[in-house]
Amino acid sequence: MNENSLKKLCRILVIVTAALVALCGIAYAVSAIHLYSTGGATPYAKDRVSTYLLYLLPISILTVLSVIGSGILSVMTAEGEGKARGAADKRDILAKLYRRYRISAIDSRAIGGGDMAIVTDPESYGAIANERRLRKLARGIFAAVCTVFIAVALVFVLNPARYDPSEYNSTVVELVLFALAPCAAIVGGYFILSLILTKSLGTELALVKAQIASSSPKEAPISKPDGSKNGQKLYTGIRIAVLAVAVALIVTGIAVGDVKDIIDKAIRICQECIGIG
Amino acid sequence: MKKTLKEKLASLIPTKRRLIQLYAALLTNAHLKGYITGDITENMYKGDLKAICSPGLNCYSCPGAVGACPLGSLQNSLAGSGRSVPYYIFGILLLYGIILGRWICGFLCPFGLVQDLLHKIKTPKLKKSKLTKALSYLKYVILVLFVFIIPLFYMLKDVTLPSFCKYICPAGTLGGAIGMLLNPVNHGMLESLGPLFTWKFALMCSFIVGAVFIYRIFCRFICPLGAIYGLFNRFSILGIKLEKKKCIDCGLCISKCKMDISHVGDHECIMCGECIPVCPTKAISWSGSKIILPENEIESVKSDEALTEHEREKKLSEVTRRRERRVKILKITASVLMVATLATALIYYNFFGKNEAVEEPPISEDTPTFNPRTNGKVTVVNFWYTDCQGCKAELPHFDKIAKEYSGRVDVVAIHADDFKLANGAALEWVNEYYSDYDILFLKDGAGDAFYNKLLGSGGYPMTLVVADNGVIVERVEGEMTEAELRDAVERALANTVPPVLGEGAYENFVIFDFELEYLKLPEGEE
Repeated sequence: MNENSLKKLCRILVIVTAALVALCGIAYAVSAIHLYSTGGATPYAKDRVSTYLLYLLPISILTVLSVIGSGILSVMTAEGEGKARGAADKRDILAKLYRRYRISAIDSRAIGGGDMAIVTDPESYGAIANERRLRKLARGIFAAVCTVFIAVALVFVLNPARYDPSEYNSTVVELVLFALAPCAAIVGGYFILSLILTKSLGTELALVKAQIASSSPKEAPISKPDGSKNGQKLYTGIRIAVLAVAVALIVTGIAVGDVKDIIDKAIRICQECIGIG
Repeated sequence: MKKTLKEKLASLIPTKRRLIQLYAALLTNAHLKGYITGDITENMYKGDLKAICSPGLNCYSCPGAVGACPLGSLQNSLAGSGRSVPYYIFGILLLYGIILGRWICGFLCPFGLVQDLLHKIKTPKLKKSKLTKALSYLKYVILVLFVFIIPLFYMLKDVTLPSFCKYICPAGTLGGAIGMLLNPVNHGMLESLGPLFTWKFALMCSFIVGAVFIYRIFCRFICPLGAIYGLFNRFSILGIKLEKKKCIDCGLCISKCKMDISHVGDHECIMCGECIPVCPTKAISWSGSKIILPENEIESVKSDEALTEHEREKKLSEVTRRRERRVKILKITASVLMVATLATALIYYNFFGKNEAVEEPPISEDTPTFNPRTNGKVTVVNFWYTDCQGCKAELPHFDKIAKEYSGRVDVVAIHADDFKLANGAALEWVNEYYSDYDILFLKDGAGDAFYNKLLGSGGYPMTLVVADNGVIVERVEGEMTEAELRDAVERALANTVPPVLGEGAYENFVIFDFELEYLKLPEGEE
């Protein structure tokens, strides 16, 4: 199979993965709701959950395989061994890459001191590309694990059964599952998105080269576009929105009595909080 | 080159940043009376202003604290989120974050100041590296796990567990625990020290020693509050900003910075401003200054082609002079406001601030009450409240004792006067979990009046053993095991001649002589 076909396959697989992950999530959520609504006093009894999990197993396996497959294909088809020409070209590209990827092969002091010996080594790009490939592979595997983990953990954790308050030292397993579920959701979601959205290294290099080509190569420092006006407006909009939300939350909190809760805690010494007793 | 005496003395003068840090530390701990008297329960600041969260990490159990700790408040609010969403604390964190970002870490956090001062001790220092960069993500793990996940998990079990405060926070140990234990008035608390204190003390010492060798070790690797504020760095109104147009990517700012930044103003940047003077192209500046002092007028004069060279120079010097005058006025105004605020805070919190129990209103004659003094039996009295995990853990032991010594000993549990008492949540809890307990559930007076009058300083849980004439013969702070409780009861019962108030060894003993209202009426009296 030639490289273009692989890239096409990879693109299709990534879309299929995204669809499968969404479908998996919906299936688990619907199952959880159905379990809860038909379960009576103990909706998440183990035998009931096992039955549902059996039905959900095929789509879960398919999702996991798809994620692993798309991760591996993304790594295999990753671009990025372009070689820059010219000192200014290299300096700019490498400085950008340093900021973006924190590549260890580049010495920032060398950039500052004007010593181009280290930074002009085109072989560094090979190292950069390999690093990216490894990261993508790790992301793919991690996303696969997260997908399954989220589903199982959510069903387990949504058990509304109450515990005897005297047995407040809960099992470690429960806590680990509860803790890892949202972590997995956040991190897995991020990785899946980044797999789909991140430009390849080659595309990044091409963009930077185009930028340099459009400006005079003799100018130093190399001119950079300042923040666009739309970008500034977006930032201002975000600040105003967050400020408004913050004030609204504070006012709501005062109205519903949150403040009293905080004062109650603040005016008493919580001995376990400061380590005494 | 050797420094002259003048240079040496000049180097001792604190920088503006250090002055602001000292100011903030003093302002957030303005209740100096707490440190001086050490009698926390009597002299802790208890006013409504304590609901305002201090922006930095400052334990509210610290004797001088005048505000709530944002992290502690967040964890406790999440622990209570089964009943309502914690709007207030979310709003406060958003507000601080969007306005100041991690400028709070660089300028306002008292624990950050402690680390900065420790780092000035002349020793070899550990430089930043890939390892420290990787470790800097640990604080996000701690944020998710200890500040959100664990309190929420235990909330599902109706247990309040502020896990970061309990297991990690060195500010609480340093300011709260050490701050109290150093005062002889609180030496009774030494008996309550156990494995938890050993762990926290060891951790605190590690951070203190580590801060000498590693710049801001706690802020870089552990602090979840810094992790939260760091998320706002990019959008914060005030802080450090980099003008990309002027930046030549020389990397000097990154080299100078002791934090693990990738670029100026990222989520690791504490906005200390030390990178500003090293930038060769002056690309780094304080953002937010343009709100007060727009540079547009200087730029517009420079770019105004209608002016001649001479006119431009004249106008430029005029505009520059006006700007300098404005800067001077702003500096004086800011200084005056800061000094006035600090002076007001010191006077208010130490002389007028609320820190005493409220006078208890009289109870009507029809209300059933209980008085250990007139009970005629040995009474075990436990002060507790529903958000106190240790309190709830030991209550089953009290119930066992109540059943075992029924007829000879009464066991009463007095709930603190908190929000959960007022809104009925405490009674709901008692009805749900303790309906078959033989304990008599009572409630403390307004502002924990009876606790404060009887005991002065102390925390929760607190257990008293009261002889049949009302004399308190034993007082135990902290959780009790069943065996300890049984021993205390046996000792009180074995006193065939009850102590008489005012005689011999019992001359200074306290009498428990208050009428307490029932939280839950016993069966038969409902």
